[in-house]
This record gives sequence, structure tokens and C-alpha cells, in this order.
Amino acid sequence: MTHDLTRWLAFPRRYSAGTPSEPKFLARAAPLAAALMAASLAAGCGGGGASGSSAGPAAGTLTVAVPSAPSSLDPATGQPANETYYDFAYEPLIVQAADGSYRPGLATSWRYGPDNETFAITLRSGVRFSDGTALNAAAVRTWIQHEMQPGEGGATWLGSLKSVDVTGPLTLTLQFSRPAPQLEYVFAQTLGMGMIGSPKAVQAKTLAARTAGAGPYELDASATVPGATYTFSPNPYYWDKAAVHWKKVVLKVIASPTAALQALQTGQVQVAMDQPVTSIPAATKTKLKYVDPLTLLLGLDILDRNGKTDKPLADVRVRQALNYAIDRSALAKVIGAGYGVPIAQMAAPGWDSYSSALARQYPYNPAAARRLLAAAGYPHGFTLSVVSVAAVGQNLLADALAGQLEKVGITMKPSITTSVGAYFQALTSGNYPAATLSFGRLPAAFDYDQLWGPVASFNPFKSASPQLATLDGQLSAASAVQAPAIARQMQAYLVQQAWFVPVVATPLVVLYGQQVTGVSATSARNVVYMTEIRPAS
Amino acid sequence: MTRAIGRRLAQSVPLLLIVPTITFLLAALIPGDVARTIVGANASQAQYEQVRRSLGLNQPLYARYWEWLGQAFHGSLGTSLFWQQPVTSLLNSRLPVTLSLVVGSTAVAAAGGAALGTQAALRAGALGRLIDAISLVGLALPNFFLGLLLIAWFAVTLRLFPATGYVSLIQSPGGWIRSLVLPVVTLAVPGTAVIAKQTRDAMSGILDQPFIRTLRAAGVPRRSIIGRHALRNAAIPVVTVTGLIFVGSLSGTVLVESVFALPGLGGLAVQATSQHDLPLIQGVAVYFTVIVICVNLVVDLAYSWLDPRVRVS
Repeated sequence: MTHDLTRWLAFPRRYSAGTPSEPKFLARAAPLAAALMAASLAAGCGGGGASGSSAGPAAGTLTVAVPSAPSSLDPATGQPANETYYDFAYEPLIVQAADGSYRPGLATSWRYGPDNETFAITLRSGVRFSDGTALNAAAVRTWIQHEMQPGEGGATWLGSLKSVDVTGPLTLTLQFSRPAPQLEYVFAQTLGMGMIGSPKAVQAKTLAARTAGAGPYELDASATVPGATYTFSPNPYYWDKAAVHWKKVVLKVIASPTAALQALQTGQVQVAMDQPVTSIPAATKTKLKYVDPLTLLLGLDILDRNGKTDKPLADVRVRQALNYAIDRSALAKVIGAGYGVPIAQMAAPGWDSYSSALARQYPYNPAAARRLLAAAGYPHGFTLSVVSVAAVGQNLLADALAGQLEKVGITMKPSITTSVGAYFQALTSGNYPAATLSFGRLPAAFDYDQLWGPVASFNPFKSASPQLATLDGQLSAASAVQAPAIARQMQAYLVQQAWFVPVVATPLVVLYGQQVTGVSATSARNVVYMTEIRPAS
Repeated sequence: MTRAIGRRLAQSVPLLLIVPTITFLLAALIPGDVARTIVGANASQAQYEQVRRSLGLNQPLYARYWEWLGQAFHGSLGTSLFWQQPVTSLLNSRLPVTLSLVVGSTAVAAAGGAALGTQAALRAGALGRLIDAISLVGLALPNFFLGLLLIAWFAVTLRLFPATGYVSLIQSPGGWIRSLVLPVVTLAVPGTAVIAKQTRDAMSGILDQPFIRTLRAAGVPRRSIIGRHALRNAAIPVVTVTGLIFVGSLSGTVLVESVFALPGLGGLAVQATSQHDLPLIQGVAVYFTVIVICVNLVVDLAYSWLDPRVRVS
């Protein structure tokens, strides 16, 4: 191509021997092009209900832009991040409302036993899955056993489950070997555990590609292209016809935030899930609406708290110095694009473990950071290797942190991986003493096992603390009323020990057009429940 | 002719082995694996190991390659590790999108480039320079940027075409055309510029040849001189470039499919790579290789049609 360009620039020749008329094909090409253009515009004038129409979808169709596709449509195997795909076809046992309260779903009632070690569930009668199979206690037991298979999600959320006892056609009791907290949350929509699938489909092993839930819709496999478009039609067996708001639901995978915004602006989609905050100004200019619950925490996870690979990190004063060296307000403005909130604890305002008493911990104070480093024997700082990933703003954070830490003498060396898989491989390898971290909201009772307990993936050096373990035990057995106070004690310990350098809480934005309503996410439930979305008029 | 085609196809077989092998080795070098992508951040190490074993990722690389090769010889490209669906079915569902895009953009580039190039060669003065300038701009403009501009003007502001998405030909022929207009134009612009330039150079050279003067002296109509003699002779390098543009457009689809959210092979290749889905990456490589082989064959056949001196044999 370069060669051709050189020739073109070097030899600008033209035919000067007369001016012959155009060849026939040229004369014919223009009308053909015009006809094609006219045909395409005529097709556009017709409007129509095709998903590609800029005139908007046919009445009764909800089209949603989703940034990524799940590996499986089975809620037991899929990740909670793909809830959007499961909501339409699978109704959960318990529904978490936007205000954080729980209401009946497929279960009409539920009750904890003593010390949170048993959980009794009563199911709704007359419910059928989309394949016609009836919902009963045996079906729920089959489902939970399916979730508990090695490699499935149940091991994460129901790890201490001992048995599932069917006590009647529509009643069952779960027995746990140790206190199991937050089971309402586990069996609500967000984690997918309570989204029961048909036992027939479980046995047939068809759930990865086809749905068989008791939700308002079912997957239309003939109109679905895996990884690109997922089409749902109403479930003929759904028990609550009044809750079926759409004749058709289409989930379109649109990875580019710009493309998603443009699809929303032109009416091709009505809702765009999980968009960056940077889309908000452009969206509001075109009268789009949005919800932006604080969803993601970004910060630095000091993995090697015993100084195995990076000795200075074993000293709490060094870890505290790292916290003092960070100008969180400045980083919140940059990384959160004006919508971020600076944080010094591993929780955001509105979360159950958030402590307002800790909000002013570690104000930006480079002098204090230098003093602590000197007191710990590192007056000239030290070198810190950090693994990061070019996703969710983590790489931006890594670069910004490196700049700020340099001011107190700490040389931060970020290794930016290009994929989440490579990032986790590096993070869990034990080769890096620290990693940038982004994580979504979970009830505090899960934080220990997910983030800082000895079994957590984000704790590859298996740091342990008897105090944290005791608090975790208390938290697991606590009632919903007692739990926040214990969770805040845990936060206080982590902040004092400076196991992390929390930096900013950022929202994950859901944009939507005027045509729909019911797009709700709050600090109490920061995920939109898709079946709540209905036509605005 | 049939024997010649057969021989050409036989010569392409090593390519079908070499490209997927190189792709396999390169893809295997990418850090991370698909098991971590599937289980996500919340999974324990035990869950991750379980999924690795179930996907066969604990086997040595050569064993996995050998297994894939065996399946390929039996006509199967295996199962996607991420989607857990047959690779061929995933690829076939996206092939029409990419083919529509690449064939459409190459056709537009060939027609537009030949027209512009011929005009530039024939016309003197400002028009020729204008065509040169337009072609240069087309070559310099990054196609993702052009795509965003086209969406902003023709989709968001004028609402003439959809901003994103693909409508299948069977579902709606009109919708199919409308969904392709902006991405095809986006992908076609650089190719149009290259073909215009190539056509202009070739035509200018041919039009200076003595046989053209002879034809004119013999009273052959001007239209016939240009259409039957000059353009046909100038077409051989243009056909070569068109073939190259077709092949280059395959890689161009990666960006264009992303900008227009089209469910094609380019986007699937990106997804498969970021998910470390080796069988799917291999499948995309095989499909792209077959397409390239077919295009080269068509180009060879076009040579022999355009120039009787060239024989495929």
C-alpha cells in the first residue's frame, strides 16, 4: 500500500489524448448505485419491526444492549455478572426489591432456624417451568444438587450445605454444617442460586444453551445467535401473566460503549446495561435517563502482608504509609469521571459494612507517609511490583498510583495484563506482592471468604488474622439487624492494619430511554432486576 | 481448467495446516486461560482447577493440538471451550455477516475505485486532481473514525440508517441492505482509494500505448477503445489489488464489526482471543484461510479471463 501511495504521489499523470466518453459499465454503475440507495431508503421509510430499524422496535419488544455474553445460560454455572441473561427466564425463590427488602418469588415464605444453620422454604403452588414440568420441593432439591456439583457456583455461596430435606410436596429445609448467612440474598436474583431450573432439563444437560426456568420468558433458540443476540418470548406456563410486559425481549451484545449509546439514541435499544460513567453527559444531552448506583470499588490489594516477596510490606507502618500517600479525591475525579466517591475502607456509602467513622481515615498526607516509612526503616522508599489489568479502569488506577507513590519515594512497577484471565493467573501466582483490585458489591457476610479470608482468591499469600476469623464467625451467625455492626468492626480492623489501599467507589451505569420505566437500582440493591422494566405508557 | 483448479486447491492444503498450527502456538502463548474467564473472580482455586480439568486444559499442549488435528481431519473443528457449542455452528451463524460485509465492501471499492480511477485518468484539470485528493483522504482516514462519523450523521442525526446491528437477508431484504450500508461504506473507503489510484496509473499507462493510437487511427469508436481495450488491459493489476483488498478487509472487519456492533467473525475472533478459547480461535483461522484460498483462486481465474496469454495451467 505504501508503495502504491508513493507511486501515486510521484506520478500524477492524466490522460490528455482527447476526451473519450465513459465506458459502458460506468454509465450503468451510477443508476445501479442510485437504485440500491433508493431501495435501502425505501426500506427505511417502511419502518417495520426489525431490530435493525432506526424507527425503533415494534410495540411490545424490549431490546437491551449488554456489553458481554455469558459462557452459559445456566444460572448455576454462569457468573452473577450475567444476571441480565437469567432474569427473564428464571424467577428466583426470593425477589430482592429495589429498596433492599425481600419479597416472595417462587417461594411464598422462608425462615431461618437457630444460629442460621437451617433454612426452611415453602414454595408457591401451581407453578410450572417453561418445559411444562411442575415446580415442587424435589425440583428445588435437584436444582441445589446441580449447583453443588464441583466447579458450579453453589460451592462458593452454599459451601457449608449439609443436606436438602424435602419435608412436603412444596416444603423443604436446608441444613448447614456451620452458620450460613444472607440466604435471602443467595436465593434472590443477583447470585443466580435461587433461579430454579427444570429438573428435566438438569438431567438432560441442556441448560447451557436453552432455558427452562419458571420465569416470565423463555429463550427463543431459533432467533438467538450465541454471543451476539438472545431473543426471549413469553413463557406460556408462567404463573403471573400480569407480570409479562413484553411480547418479545432481545438482548444484543454491544461491547463498545459508544455503539451502545448510539443504539440507544437512535431507538434501536431501550436500555443499555453496565455502561461507563463517561457516557452520562452525552446520554443526558439527548434526554436519556440513567441510574448509577455505586457498584465497583477500586484500589490496591496488598497481597504479601507478611513480606514474603517484598519485605517492607510486612510492617504495618509501610502499609499505612501507602494509604497516606494517595490523594483519593483527585483520583476519584479522574477515574470516576466526576461520579466517583473517594473511599478509605473496603465499602462504599450505602453498603451494609460501610462505616462513616472510617470515612476520614488516611487523608492525603505525603509528609505522614514519609515519616512512617522512615520509622519503619525505609526513609528512601522501596520498590513495589503491582499486577493490573487493562479493564474496568484498573490500568488507569495503576498509572495514577505509581505517580503518587513516587512522591514519597516508593517506586511502583505496574505490570498491566491485557486479559482478565492473565490478571488472575498473575494475581494468584504468588509472584506479585500487590495487585490493583476492582470488585462489586456483596453483602458483608461474604467479604471474608471472597476478599480477605485465607480461602479468598484475592488473598494468595493466605494472610490470616484470628480477630478477623472471630468476627467472621460472629457475622455468619448474626441476624440481619446485628450484622452491619459486626461488619463495621471488620472494616475498622482492615483499615487499621492497612491490608488494602482503597481508593474510589464508582458507579456502573444503566442508561435507558423514555420509552421504558422500572429501571431501578439503589444503594440497597445496586443491580437492575430486568423483569421490573416495563413500557412507560 | 478443472485440473488446473484442482491443482491450485491441492497446493493450498499445506496452508490449511500451517496457518492453524501457527495460530495454535501463538494463541497458546497468551497468558491466562479460559477456565478463569468462565469461573470468574468469585470462584475458589478448587473450582477453577475443576473447570480446567473438565475442559482438558491440564493436558499438555501437544496432546491438545493432536486431538484438535484429529478432529479437523474428520471434519469437526471441535467444541468452543467458552460457549460449549460446536465451533462450526458458532462460525456458520456469523459467516453471513462477515461475508456480506467483505463482499459488499470489496464490490463497492472495486466499482467506485474503477470509476474514480478511470475518470481521473481520462479527465484533465481540476476534476482529476479532485478525484486524486478524495482518494488520498479516503486512504488516510481511519475506518473506525469514519464509521463513527457516518453513524453520527446518517444514523443519529438524519435517522436514515441503523446505528448498529445486522438484519439477515432472509428476515428482511430491505433491512439487510440498510444494516449494511454504513459498515460497507466504512470498510470500502480505503479500498476505493487504493483501487482508484491503481486504476488511474494503469489506465494512464495503457492509454499512452501505441496500440491505443493505432485503434484511434483506425477509427475505432472512443467508447470501445476505453471499455474493450484500455480498461480490460488495465484490469489485471486492479484485479490483483482487489483480491488483496478483499483479504485485507477480513482484518478490517474486526474494527468495523465493533463500531457497528455486527455479530460477525471478526468480533468473534476478538472474543475468542480474549477468552483464550483455542478451538474457536483455530476455527476462525481455518475459515479465514479457506476464504483467502477461494479469493486467490477467483483472482487467478479472473487473470485468465482478462488476458488470454495467461493460462491457469
